[in-house]
Amino acid sequence: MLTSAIKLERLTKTFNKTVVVNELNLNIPCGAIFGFLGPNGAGKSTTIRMMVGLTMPDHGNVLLMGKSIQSDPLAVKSMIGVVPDEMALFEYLTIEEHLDLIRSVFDIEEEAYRLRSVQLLELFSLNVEKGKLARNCSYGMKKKLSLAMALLPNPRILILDEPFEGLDPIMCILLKRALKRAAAQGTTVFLTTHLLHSVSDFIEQFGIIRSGTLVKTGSISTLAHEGLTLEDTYIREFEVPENARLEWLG
Amino acid sequence: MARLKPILRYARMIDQRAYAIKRSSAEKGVEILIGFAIATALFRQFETIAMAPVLIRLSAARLLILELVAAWVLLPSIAPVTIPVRLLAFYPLTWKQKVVYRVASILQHWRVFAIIVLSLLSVAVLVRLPHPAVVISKAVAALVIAASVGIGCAIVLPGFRIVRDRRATNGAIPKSHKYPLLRKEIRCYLRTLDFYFALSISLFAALSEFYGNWLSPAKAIVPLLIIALLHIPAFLNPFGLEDSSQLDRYLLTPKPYSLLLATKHMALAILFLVSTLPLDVSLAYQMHFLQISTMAMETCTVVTSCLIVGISLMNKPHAQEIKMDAGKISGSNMSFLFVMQVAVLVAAIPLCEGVTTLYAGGLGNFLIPSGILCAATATYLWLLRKQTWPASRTNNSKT
Repeated sequence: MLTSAIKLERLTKTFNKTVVVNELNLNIPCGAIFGFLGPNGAGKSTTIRMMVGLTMPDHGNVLLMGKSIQSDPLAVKSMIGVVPDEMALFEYLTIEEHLDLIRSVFDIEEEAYRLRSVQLLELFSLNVEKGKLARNCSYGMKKKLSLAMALLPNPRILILDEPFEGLDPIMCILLKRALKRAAAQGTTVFLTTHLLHSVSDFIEQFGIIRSGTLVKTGSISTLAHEGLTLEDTYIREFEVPENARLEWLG
Repeated sequence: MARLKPILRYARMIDQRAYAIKRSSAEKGVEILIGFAIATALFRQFETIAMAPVLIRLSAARLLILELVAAWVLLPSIAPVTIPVRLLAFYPLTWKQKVVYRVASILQHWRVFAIIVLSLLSVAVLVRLPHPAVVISKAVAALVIAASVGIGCAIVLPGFRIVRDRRATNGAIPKSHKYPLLRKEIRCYLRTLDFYFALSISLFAALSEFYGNWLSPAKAIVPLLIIALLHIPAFLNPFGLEDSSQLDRYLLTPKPYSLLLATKHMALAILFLVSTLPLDVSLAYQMHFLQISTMAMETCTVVTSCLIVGISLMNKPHAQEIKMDAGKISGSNMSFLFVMQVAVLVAAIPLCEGVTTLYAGGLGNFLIPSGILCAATATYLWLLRKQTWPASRTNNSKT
């Protein structure tokens, strides 16, 4: 039986002689909610891009549900739902047409599509504006559409880059509930975020990346056992600079 | 006026810089080819107005004025303003300064200068018609109105929008369509003005076929070639309208690259055939069945040839930089190979015509084009089958 949903082996990527991701190893079991944390430019998004096949790693392997993204990309892509960092929407398609496009490329049956799309539009409060072009949508609406597109095929792995960014608090709660329900059914959730306080009660496992290197992994339950919070653990890994000198401000 | 001078200078500087970056030798080459074809057609029309019998002169004059009116109305595509309205709004300019900037930015374009000269020439040549005063006054009025509309549109329109938001509907189940990917691609291409430019050329060529006598079916290859050239940026870089984020969406789909590319090509072929339809219909009007079939096959061969040129060049980094834009071919560092391909295409036409003439009168007229079409289709399918995503598109930096 397959226990590992996401397996990264010595994943490395270099841009212009700068090592962005360095020998990254990760093993995430099926049904886990994993938070991939780190500051801006640490290599989170690049890792995600390599995981989903948007960027080719210099070396190393990405195995999703036991299949390699490099050698069998189509099979892997049919099992994953992704919210990329720039959301990847087509400007001149409406919200409704985006969902229709996903139905077509993921070969979702008509009955299932109707049920799921209605529920997703309702969940993300997009049903009134479903005729709106993506180019005219606000950042929050684009994010919600991108999330709906990732959830629509009911994938076995959800890979979400900053899913809570741009969402209002109520929407964050609803999304967390939906993701928890999916995880309970066996879907693996891999997400990145900067909002530590809002995910500390939600994620089960975490990894902290700094300058392309994975510096800490663990589970929230272990932290709780040690009397630590996610924020404490995160701050320990980084030097917090002194207050910026902005005497002129104000 | 003194206050406007720095704005005019700034507008000129920005436009010159933008064009210096965008234009390359290959683009200039293509532009010269198109310009040469248009100039030849216009020369024939001026010649007809000056020399031909009165009835033909009248038809030619009407056609010429119609073309110039269309050129003025299509000004936003012919002379695109390089700085968009929303960027202009960023600067602390008064609305008068903004209007002056936009008008100056449009009028300094050489194409606009060429249209002004042609308009003046066309008005002058109308002296050759009966009742010149009446005809000239009507023509001047039409041109002034068209120029006002064109300049107004160029000032006001930040971009040419075909697709608008659908009316909001409450509670209904989202609609599903057949072939949503193909629909998306067609809509995507309909955003460009190149298609409308090609369609207008086709329409005017068709009109001249019905009402003029200067365009024989054999010469119809000239407008067909201009239309093909207008479509070439799209054939060469079918993903040219997508930014890096939208390319990501294609990369995330669990469909093979060849299928995505074939869908894009199908959308392009449909639009190519639609844009040449008026011309095809007007030519078919004068032909019998065998000739119509031959012409249809020749048109399909042109489409397939364009696709083969595109597919064989699209993996080159330079070809990926070609963007479809409003009525022009743009992109930096276009390969010289592209110009060579166009030159070969142009050179091949009389050659093919010569070979066909050898078999004129028999089934050869039908068999040769069908053989060429079959060979072209087989080549296209073979090239499509071995297509993979260009490495540069799966290996770019996050930005």
